[in-house]
Amino acid sequence: MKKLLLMIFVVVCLLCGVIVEENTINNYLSEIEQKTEYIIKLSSGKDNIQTQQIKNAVRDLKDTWLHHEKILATFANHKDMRDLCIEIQKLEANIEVNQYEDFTAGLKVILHLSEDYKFILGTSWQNIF
Amino acid sequence: MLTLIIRSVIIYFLVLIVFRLMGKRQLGQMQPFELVLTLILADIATIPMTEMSVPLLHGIVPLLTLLIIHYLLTLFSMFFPKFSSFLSGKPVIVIDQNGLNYKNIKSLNMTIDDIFEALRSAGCFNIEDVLYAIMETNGKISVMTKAETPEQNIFPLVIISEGKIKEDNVSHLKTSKQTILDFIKSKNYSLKKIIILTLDKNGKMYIQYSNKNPKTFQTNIKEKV
Repeated sequence: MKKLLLMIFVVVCLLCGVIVEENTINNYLSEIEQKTEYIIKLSSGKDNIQTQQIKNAVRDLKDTWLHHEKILATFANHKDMRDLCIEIQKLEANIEVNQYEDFTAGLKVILHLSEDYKFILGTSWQNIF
Repeated sequence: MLTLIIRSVIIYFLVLIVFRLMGKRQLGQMQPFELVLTLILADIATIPMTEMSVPLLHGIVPLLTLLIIHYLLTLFSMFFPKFSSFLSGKPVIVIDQNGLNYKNIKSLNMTIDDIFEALRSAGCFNIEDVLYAIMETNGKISVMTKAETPEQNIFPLVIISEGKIKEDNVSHLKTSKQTILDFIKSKNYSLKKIIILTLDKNGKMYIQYSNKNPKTFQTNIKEKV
């Protein structure tokens, strides 16, 4: 009986873990996507990306990522997350040299990686098989 | 470095707990499904222990999942004897009074040399001394020598184990399930509460009922020739 209760406890813990993981990953990556889309909107059609508004938005994106990265590292392989981190860091460098093409390309890569992680870390038949 | 040490300590204790919960069997006494689980467990445990980029959860979650699978399989095996047979196989008689049972040996994918090796490992060097040899589900061979059993026909078989009738053994003794059930009823026993009941061809029965001392009866249930 004691063992059965222990097993039920383990199952409940695992199920809770699954729910927490799914929600955390979805919420955090969705937030990153929203902020990236906001930057795309701000920078679209502008030759000069060295505006304060864009700089603030990029800093906000970076802060959000750094804040969430530690929690995401609990669930995801650290190597997988490195790419997204590098792309976010590159945005600031591109603003400094006013590289619009690289900047917008970087934003698209961030969006893509974020979508990709959601899929990789989420539960789906494709991931199982 | 410190992270590695902490990870190793956590994984070590987790694996230790998982093995303790799995039971006390030694490697050689494992059923096939237990061996599979042990091999996977060992592999799963080492990856997050040494690979720093892999979260510890990637080791803990599969370990706990396998523990649950093992528990469920054991539970199902207890309640469904057919499932248990499917999972672990059945003991197979490889030597009986008619000598080597070649058909059974072939069904085990074993050669005669393998059987002789197993017999020698069991301390039996002369096949003529062997009355019965049974290949158990854990891969070990159990040998009953003629010297141990002067009356060669007496070979008690497990008829009821943990409240479940073993129909194969019932038919092996050439009796019927109903005869066994009628006997149990006549003794006012409940089938579910019988831990073990063995019967030999002369009708000698050994029974252990839930929380009671074992008893031996001489019954009139004999092999119908």
